[in-house]
Amino acid sequence: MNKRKITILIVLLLVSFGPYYIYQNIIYKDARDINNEKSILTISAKNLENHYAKNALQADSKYLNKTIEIEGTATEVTDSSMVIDGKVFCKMNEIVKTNFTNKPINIKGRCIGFDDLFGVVKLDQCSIQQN
Amino acid sequence: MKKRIVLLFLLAGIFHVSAQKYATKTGNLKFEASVDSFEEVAAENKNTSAILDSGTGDIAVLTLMKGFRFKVALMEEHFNENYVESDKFPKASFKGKIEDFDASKISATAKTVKISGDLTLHGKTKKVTTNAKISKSDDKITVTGNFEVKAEDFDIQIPKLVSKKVADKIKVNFNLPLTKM
Repeated sequence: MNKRKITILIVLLLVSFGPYYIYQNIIYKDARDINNEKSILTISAKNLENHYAKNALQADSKYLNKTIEIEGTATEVTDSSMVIDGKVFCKMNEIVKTNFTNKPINIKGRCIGFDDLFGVVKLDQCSIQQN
Repeated sequence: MKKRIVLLFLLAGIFHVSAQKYATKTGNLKFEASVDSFEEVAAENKNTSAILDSGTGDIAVLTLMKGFRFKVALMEEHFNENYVESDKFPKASFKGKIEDFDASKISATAKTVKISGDLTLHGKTKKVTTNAKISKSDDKITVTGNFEVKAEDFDIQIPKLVSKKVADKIKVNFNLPLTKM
């Protein structure tokens, strides 16, 4: 009898909270939070661009949609984006207040692919890693 | 002789000015395939690259599919994995020309121009012709407009289960703030 009660209780719980779980965690799950994700590797901006220029397909399979960290010098800075060593374009998550022009920088972001028009690798949802 | 040389320099000067390029790495591209009374199907890409040659009116636009952001994460996942297959086809591009383009005639007040060219998406290329508005202030040329495409034209299959919730015609909006290179 006791066992049966527990089974009924479990079934009831599943029926009442199951749809909610599906709704919350599958249909309306949160988007990836790149800022809190661990990067899979750290690479210099030049090496990353080199890899893409040599073999875009192979580079895509390795970096595309992955969270990576870029090292280099900021060459072009606007309030919402940064170009590292003229090779990697980073779209920042937040407006950058400090001026990083010509300063060494370490940026984490999601690789979204290679831009042939400018010959740059693009990253979005970027954040600055050092202070 | 001297006159000729001067003339040559003048011409060279004109040629140099007319071959000016305008570009952006942060152009805005939006598309919407919503159907009334169903959930909004729309995404925005704020990292679209574009280059305009003000001498010839040639325009090239490139956008990375992974850069399209949806409000709903699952929709973004389906878009990337099942619809545009962004692992296989990571970019979409447009190569075209602004018809009868004359850089000296554009001003702060927007002028309507016709743009036509090839749109490549999901490994398929199709001719697209659209009207756009073009304006200029200082060193900045802004090109804005919209056009419609059909998913089937680019071999993108929409499953029957959701076909009622995704519009047949997809409206694409573009806003390209181009600065002098």
